[in-house]
Amino acid sequence: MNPTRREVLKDMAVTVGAVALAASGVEASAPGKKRKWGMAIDLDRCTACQACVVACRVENNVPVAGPSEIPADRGIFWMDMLAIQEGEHPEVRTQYIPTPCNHCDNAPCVKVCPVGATFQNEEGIVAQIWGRCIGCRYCTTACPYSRRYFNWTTPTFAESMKAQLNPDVATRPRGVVEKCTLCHQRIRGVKDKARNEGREIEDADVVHLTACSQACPAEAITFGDMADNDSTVSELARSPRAFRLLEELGTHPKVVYLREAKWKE
Amino acid sequence: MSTRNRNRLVVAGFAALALFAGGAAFAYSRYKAFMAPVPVTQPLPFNHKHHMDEKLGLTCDACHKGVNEGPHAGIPSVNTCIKLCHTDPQGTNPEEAKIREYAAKGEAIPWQQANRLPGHVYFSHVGHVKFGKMECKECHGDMKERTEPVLLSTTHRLDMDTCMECHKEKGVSNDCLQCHK
Repeated sequence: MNPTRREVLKDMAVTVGAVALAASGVEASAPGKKRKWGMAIDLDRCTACQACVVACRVENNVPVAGPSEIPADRGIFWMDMLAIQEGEHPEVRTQYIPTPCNHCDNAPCVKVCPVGATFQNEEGIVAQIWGRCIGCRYCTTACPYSRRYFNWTTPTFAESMKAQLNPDVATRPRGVVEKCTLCHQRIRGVKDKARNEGREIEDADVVHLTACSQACPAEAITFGDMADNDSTVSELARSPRAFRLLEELGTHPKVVYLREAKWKE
Repeated sequence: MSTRNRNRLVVAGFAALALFAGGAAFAYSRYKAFMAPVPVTQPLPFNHKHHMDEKLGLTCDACHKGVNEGPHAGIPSVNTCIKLCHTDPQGTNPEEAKIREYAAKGEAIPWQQANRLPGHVYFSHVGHVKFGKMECKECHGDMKERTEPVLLSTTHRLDMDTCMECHKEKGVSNDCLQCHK
C-alpha cells in the first residue's frame, strides 16, 4: 500500500526532529566539551586606575610608542581605557571603559584576513599569528571596536626593559598587526600545570588569570569559561547589569560589561 | 591584436615570471639560512656517552630535570657536577679540572645553547616527554652514543610540517595557539 501524503509528511517531520535532536545532543554532551574563554568587566567597580593597561603592556611585550608616535596615533594598546562622555552640560559624567579585544564569536576581522593570519581558535580566542600577517590592515579597518594595532615602526625596547620582556610572548616585527590574545600563554601554562597535577582546570585557576585581571585592585575584571554555566564569568554575564559593546552589530563579543546605570551608545 | 602588442605582452609576461622566480629563490634562500643550525663553542668537551653508559647509567632527566616539570629542559648547575662526582679529579682529561675552577669562582659553566626554536614558537618539554610519552631521541638523536660536545643543533630537522604531521598522527590539536606565541 502506498503511504498517504499525511503519513509521508509525518515521517519527514519525525526524521527532521530526530536529526535536530541528535545534533543538539552532540553539542551539549560531547566529551571534553569546548571551552569559550571570555571576560566580564564590572564598570561599577572600575576606578580607571589603568593598572590593567600597564600590566597588559608588561605581560605581552607591547612596545612603548613614545612622544613621537602617540600624536601620530600610532600607539599600541592591547588594553586601552576609553573615556566616554555622557549627559549634557552641566550634568556631564565620564564613563571610563577598559577595552581589551572583544573576542567576538562572529568576528569581522577574521572574515577579512586574506592570508588566514587571524582566526578564532578552538577555545574562542580571536588570535593572530604574527609571522603570517602581511600587514594589509583590512582587519584594523573591519574591527568595529578598533582593537587592532599596526606596527608602523620596528618595536624597540629600552635597554633597561629588555630583561623584563616576557619569554612566553614573541615580540612582533614591523609591518604586522597585533592584538589582545586573552593571555593565551597563561592559559597554556595553567593547562600544563593542571595536567601535571593530574586534574582538570577549575574556575578558581582562571578567574583572575589574565594580566589585566590579576592587576586589577578592585577585582573588576573576571576571566573564565563562558561555555561553563557555573563559572563566575557566565554568572556575571547573566546579570541584569550585563551589556556588550555595539551589541546591535551582531558580532557577539565575549567581553561582557556590567553597569547599574543603563548603557546608551 | 597587432603583432607588436602581442610581443610586448609576451615580454611583460616573461619579466613578471622572472621577477616571481627571483623573489621565490630569494625567499627560499632566506628560509634556508634561517633554518640552518648555527655552530656554537662549548667551554668543556662534555661526553654524553661516558655519562650515560652502563657504568654511570645516568638518564636524560637526571641532569635535564626540567623535562618532567616545565617547558624548558634545563641544564644542571656546576654544583650538581661537583656534588655528584667531580669533587676530586675524574678521568684523564686535563679539561676536567675546569669544573672545579668554575665552582671555586662561584660561576656557572657557560654552556651554549645549540638547539633553538624560532622566537614565535612555544615548545613544552613536559608536554612532549611526560604527557606525550615521547623519547628524547625522537628529536635529539641518540645522545647516549655521542662522545663529542654538542656544537651544532641536533634538532634542526624540525620544521612546522614535522610538528604538524606528528600532532595529526597522534590526535593532538593543531590549533595555531597550541605552539605559536
